[in-house]
Amino acid sequence: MIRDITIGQYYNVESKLHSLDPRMKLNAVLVFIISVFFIKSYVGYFIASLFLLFCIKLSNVPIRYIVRGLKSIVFLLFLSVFLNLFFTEGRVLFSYSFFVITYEGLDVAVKMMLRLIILILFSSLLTLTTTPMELTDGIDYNLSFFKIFKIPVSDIALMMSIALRFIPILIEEVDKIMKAQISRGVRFDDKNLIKKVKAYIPILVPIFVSAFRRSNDLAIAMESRCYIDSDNRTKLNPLAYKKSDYLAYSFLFVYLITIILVCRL
Amino acid sequence: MDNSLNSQENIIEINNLNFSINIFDDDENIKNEIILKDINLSVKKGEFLCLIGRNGSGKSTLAKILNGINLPTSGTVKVMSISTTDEKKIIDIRKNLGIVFQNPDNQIVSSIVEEEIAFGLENIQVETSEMRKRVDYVLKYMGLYKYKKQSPNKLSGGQKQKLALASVVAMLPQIIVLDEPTAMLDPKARKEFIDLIIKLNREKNITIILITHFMEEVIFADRVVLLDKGEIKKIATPKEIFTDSILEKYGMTFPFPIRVKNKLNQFGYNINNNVITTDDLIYAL
Repeated sequence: MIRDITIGQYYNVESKLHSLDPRMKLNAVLVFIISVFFIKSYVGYFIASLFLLFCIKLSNVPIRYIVRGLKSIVFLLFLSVFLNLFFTEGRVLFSYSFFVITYEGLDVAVKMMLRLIILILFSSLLTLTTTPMELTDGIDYNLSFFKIFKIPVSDIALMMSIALRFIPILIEEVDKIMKAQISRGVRFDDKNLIKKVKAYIPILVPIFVSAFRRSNDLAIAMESRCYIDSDNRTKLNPLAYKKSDYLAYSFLFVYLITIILVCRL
Repeated sequence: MDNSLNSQENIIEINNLNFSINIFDDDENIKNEIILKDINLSVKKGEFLCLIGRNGSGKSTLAKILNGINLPTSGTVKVMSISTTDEKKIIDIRKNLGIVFQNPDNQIVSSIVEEEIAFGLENIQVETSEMRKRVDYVLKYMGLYKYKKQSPNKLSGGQKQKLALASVVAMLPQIIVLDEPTAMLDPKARKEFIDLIIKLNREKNITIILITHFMEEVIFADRVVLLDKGEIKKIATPKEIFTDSILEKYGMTFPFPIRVKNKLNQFGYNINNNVITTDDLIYAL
């Protein structure tokens, strides 16, 4: 069924990581990313990987499933390894005609690769264990300090959640319009790229029109239900830190201290 | 029924309402189009009112005028003695006058059923504990409790429309306006929905204004208002309006039992004019 498409890559199992507060997870990702950029030694990377593996273990998401997420960055990975490997100057390790590999180049390339892999895996862990709704809620809370700069954080969060709600509806509509156009003889299977792109115009136009109409209807419905602005609203399920969240925070803190100590050495 | 209502206060009062909009015609000139003309109507607390009329007769516009989404061009509209032009008090009107629109998909904001019901309550800043109580109560009352953690996208059309109604009911309104709520439902879901509206009207004494194309739904109303081209053509009880030829003049059809009765009378039977529902008809036969 087309409406069963899940947005994002949420992996639906129960685990300690799934039940954590989204704010905590967002903060943890932020702290972890910063810490990884400060790591300079292999020991540091080892500790970071240990922490990552521990989190993956807690998440109950199969490690294969997570690693599959690296597929999309394989090209980026190779590019950075290639550039660092061949274009870093230093002591020569190996040379063949104009290919020159240096000790420093190898060192930088390996570290860069480790850094990228660790970063991607850790941040994908966030989207794997947090539903998009929780995520918007967490962003709403976490970024609320931006309100001082008159940035409408709550409005943006509400916009995100409305967009998420309408994605399946619009997908269904695209499906309907596509079938309607096919029945009138539009071909979407043409080999010619230009013709193929042109075939999508009769889909885009009606979908835009209908999306605008829907948003007008929704705006009226929201206003009818007393919506004025999203700042002065109460919540049905306000986010509240639990014991496990504090535990997670202290664990994160221990990790951070270790990393700082390792970097000092 | 009418007499007992007379003693009660008017919850909605519309005086000399006119509403027009400026539109561009084919030659790009601004043209003033009159949508509603000289509307005078008062609705009593606890009343079940039906608004009928052809497409483009101004029914939906009237609904949006009642809660101040559209403001009258001239004339006054007062809901619970508050004028809809009073910007400071418009929230008080919207708190007490909920609208359910035609397409459930376009009025559901949240991705979770219980959050959807809470949306209006969050807007009027109801305390979290009170909100939880109301949401659970309304979910049970509407028979949606088992879906409370689900996504509205997984509900059927009838359930979605019930959810839209539920989220209005949760705000404890005095009046509910329903703008062709059953237009997109199948016959079974339509009947269930109408039964729910009648239940709300009788049990909770909520004033109902139902805009509809289905004459079978009109039968349950206390009064019927017939609109055509922005003007009120007739205000009457369902009985009166179904014995009048005015309905067909303005493009409406009679409900099935009435049609059968009229045909039978044409063939020389003498069936009582009080026949409105199928049961009445069977009894009369």
